Amino acid sequence: MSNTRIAGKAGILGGLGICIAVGVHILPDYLIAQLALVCIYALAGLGMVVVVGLSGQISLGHAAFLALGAYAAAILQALDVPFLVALPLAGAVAGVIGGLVGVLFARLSGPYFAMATIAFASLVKEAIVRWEQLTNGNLGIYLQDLSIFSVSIADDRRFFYLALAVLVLAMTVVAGLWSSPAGRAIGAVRDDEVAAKSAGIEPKYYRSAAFGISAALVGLAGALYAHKILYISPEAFGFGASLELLVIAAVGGLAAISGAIWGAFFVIVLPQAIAALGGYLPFLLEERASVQGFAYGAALVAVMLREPQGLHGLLIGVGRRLSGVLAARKAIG
Amino acid sequence: MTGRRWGRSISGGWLAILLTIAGLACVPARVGAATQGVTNTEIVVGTHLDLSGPIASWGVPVRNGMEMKVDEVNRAGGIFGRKLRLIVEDTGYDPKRAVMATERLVGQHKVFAIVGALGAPTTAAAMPVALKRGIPHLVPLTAAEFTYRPHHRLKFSFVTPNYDAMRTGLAFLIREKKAKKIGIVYQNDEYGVGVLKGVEDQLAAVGLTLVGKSSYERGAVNFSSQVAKLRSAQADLVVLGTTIRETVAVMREARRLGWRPVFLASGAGYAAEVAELDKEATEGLYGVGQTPIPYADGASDQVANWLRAYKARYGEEGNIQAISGYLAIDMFALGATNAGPQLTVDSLIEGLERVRDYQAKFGSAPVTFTPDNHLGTTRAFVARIQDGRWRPVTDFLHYQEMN
Amino acid sequence: MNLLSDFLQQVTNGVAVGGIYALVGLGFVLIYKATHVVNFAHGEFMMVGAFLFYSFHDAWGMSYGVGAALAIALVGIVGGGMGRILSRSISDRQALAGVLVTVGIGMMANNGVRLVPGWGNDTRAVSTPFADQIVTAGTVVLSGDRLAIVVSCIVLIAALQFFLMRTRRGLAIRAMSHDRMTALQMGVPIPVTTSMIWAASTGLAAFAGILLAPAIFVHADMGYIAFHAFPAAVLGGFVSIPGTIVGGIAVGVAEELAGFYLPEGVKNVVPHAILLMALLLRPRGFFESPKIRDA
Repeated sequence: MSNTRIAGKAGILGGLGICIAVGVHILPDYLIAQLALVCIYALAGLGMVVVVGLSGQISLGHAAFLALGAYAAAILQALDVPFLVALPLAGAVAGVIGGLVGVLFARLSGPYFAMATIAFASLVKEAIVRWEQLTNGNLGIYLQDLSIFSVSIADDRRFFYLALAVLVLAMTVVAGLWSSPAGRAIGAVRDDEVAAKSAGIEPKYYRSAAFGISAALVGLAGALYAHKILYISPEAFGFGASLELLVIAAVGGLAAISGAIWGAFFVIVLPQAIAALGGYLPFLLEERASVQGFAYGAALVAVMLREPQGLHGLLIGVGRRLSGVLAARKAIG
Repeated sequence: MTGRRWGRSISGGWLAILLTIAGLACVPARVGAATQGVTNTEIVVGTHLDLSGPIASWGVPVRNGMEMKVDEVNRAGGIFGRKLRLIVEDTGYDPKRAVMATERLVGQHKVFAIVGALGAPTTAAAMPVALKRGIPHLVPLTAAEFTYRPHHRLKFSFVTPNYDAMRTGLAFLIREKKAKKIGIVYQNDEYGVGVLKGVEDQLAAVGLTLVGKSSYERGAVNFSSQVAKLRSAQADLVVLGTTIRETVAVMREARRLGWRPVFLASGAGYAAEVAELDKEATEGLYGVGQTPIPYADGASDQVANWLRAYKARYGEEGNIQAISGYLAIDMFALGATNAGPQLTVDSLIEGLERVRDYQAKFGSAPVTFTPDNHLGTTRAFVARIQDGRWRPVTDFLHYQEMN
Repeated sequence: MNLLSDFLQQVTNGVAVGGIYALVGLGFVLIYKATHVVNFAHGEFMMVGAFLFYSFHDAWGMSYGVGAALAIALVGIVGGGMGRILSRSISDRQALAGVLVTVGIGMMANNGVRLVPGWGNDTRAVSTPFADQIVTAGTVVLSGDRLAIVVSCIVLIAALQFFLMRTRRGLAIRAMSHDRMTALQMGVPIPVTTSMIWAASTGLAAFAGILLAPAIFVHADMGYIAFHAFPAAVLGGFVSIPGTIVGGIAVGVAEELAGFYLPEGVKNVVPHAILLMALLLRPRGFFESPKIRDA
């Protein structure tokens, strides 16, 4: 990459940063509050892109890591551990357990792997229910408002910046991983296990590493989730939650890390948008709320049928066509 | 992937954020009035309900009941000339959707108060969102402890806590039926555990312990081992921390085995549907309730009229869920009326704190609020299914007054 | 009550429940074998079948047999069409997209039934000819609707085995499951066969829903039981029909015994604990032949 390119890219990123800062100031509080949730789910989606996209392992149990991160954050807060220590710790708890699970499941593939993750998640959920001294069982845990160095982060804007910062940091790390030799090795194991093995790459090692990294990312998201929602109970981390995480990755697109962001918008914003649209169609949606769920399901079917590569693939296609048109214009002009 | 391509995917991500912010920035922010949600002609009230998801069979009639009361108030000219406008958001039993719904109700729709929200895990997550922003979160339709404890100026509850209701029902049946061996089947969640705690504490108070307890996951299809276990423990009274379907399924299973202990359902099982789903298996079931389930014949004129109006409007029988929604708005209207023409958050709170022995036309447990006590009632009555219908068999009771 | 009769009663109940798991699990296996898609809408097809049956039988007064046959046929036709669309739009290499499509279809079905007048969010009871009958053998009691489940499970599985092993269509399906490219070259009509598999699987789901309806009622969330049937399919290696039956019954019996003899809460995780142990011992289930493993 040439220096001018890097400078240009830095300029674009800087410009975008300024735009975001301005945008955040214009937007009303409640939208900022909801964008924070989008950041949190994009972070979790990033974890899913690593495990499903980069490593090719379909996990249907990642809600367990969301739960581990959330409970770690809640318990550490109750023990007065400062947030800046507790957040990485929560990610580490999820990551270590994820790495161990990855090793345990390394021999499994395809649906067997997916089913094993479902089983693992349901065991984690039941463990949270039964370990009442630590987790308060089914009654759940209430969290206190967040503060860092006695600066309150309860405010919507501050919390949004926090979530955005963690997301950007994680994106940078994952992008580095993606293009690193280790990332390429993970991809090689995904594409052809036998070939990777003959090239001296041990599939088991790289697969479990990818699983552990993704668990850590989802664990971080879980910790932020707990501080955002302020009430966690085992019920919130069932199979439906795991499915939701998988939807983020699959809908967004598995080929690139920006897929996580598109996916998070799909999962968090789309249902809200459909509900908001309902205000203009009172005859339909006021009477029958299920129309919203139906529309959401239909959108999922439509995206996956039309573009099995996810929204990212769709946008790349649009972008190519657009730049094709521009190039043609240039040639004519 | 090469460095160039990840660079592109990164800026793709940034673009995604930017585009949305740009889009959202076009949405105009409304400027709030002196008291949010109150003008000279209107009061905006919000609620979040489960209109989809596992307890949608509650959410939909609750919303209907609320709408009915809102229309009634508005037809009568509103409250000091102000019409009520109700904004309903769906949560689908998902805490994060409940939080987002509440943020929108407070931030976008600028509601004056949130009234009659539904669902324990959703309300637990949503309530702090409103309270933190100084918006009252009033009379949610859940019997969980967080709705009244710890005391908060902006939160009021008028649902008898599961804990008190179960202790009261159990105390009554232990006295009446001389039950000695008590077992429980409960749902493995916050609601089920609430019932369990009430039962355990009441048993401890009279020197008994559970002879058997078993739980199930929501959506379970089979209760045979749970029932067999309690049967072999020779339980003579079985408490059901179950919801409607599971209540019937457990009783059917017992009947199949030819085993007939005394069954006691919690507030969630005290619903007309239980008797309708299987008349024979559920005959004789006891339940604890707060508002008697009305049946069209035999109801007072006022209640019969209400049931007729409900059926005419929604094509279904008005049930206890619809009544809960109706009463939530009724309670708000009473508080707002007590507050007088100057409606502010403070005057509403004062208005509610002046409510004494509110029963409405359905004969519910009397509700009283004071500045120190925002839990309106702890009383419940015991009812029993006879000939396929719930009939109250006691007056309003409380376990602490029963010895 | 003595210890032995307690035990036998639990085993009997377990077999009845396991029969349901097996029936539902079979539906997963059929589709997975042929198309490598795990159909997450399976439970919803079951639920729609049960609702249709409720309308035909309890609301419109058709006889049990006619109502059931009509419901099964309708669900099978819709399922077959869906399978056709799915296999046309999504290639084998995009199994994840296929799975997500079934998830979306499941959401549409779950919310869609709530919009149908007369179905809605409420729970409906259905009447059956055998609901109130009770069969007794010694001290062991089995209700009529449970017996019906066990019997139909046996009959269906026999019929399915006959169809797969002794008919041309069955041969086509087996060939396609085994090696799609070769099957195509040998003249197996892949699109028609795919539709047929989907129709058979979803019809089976509807049938399971109808059998289950008297026991757990008809409601929009009844499809959740498919989640409990995953372990049965996995124990059968996701490819073996007899394996799925054995797996389903094993899970059902283990669940009942755990519920009766072990501490409270264990029952809830028994199916998944068994599944995990089985997978860690045999990463591809217990019933997969080495031949398919190489394919």
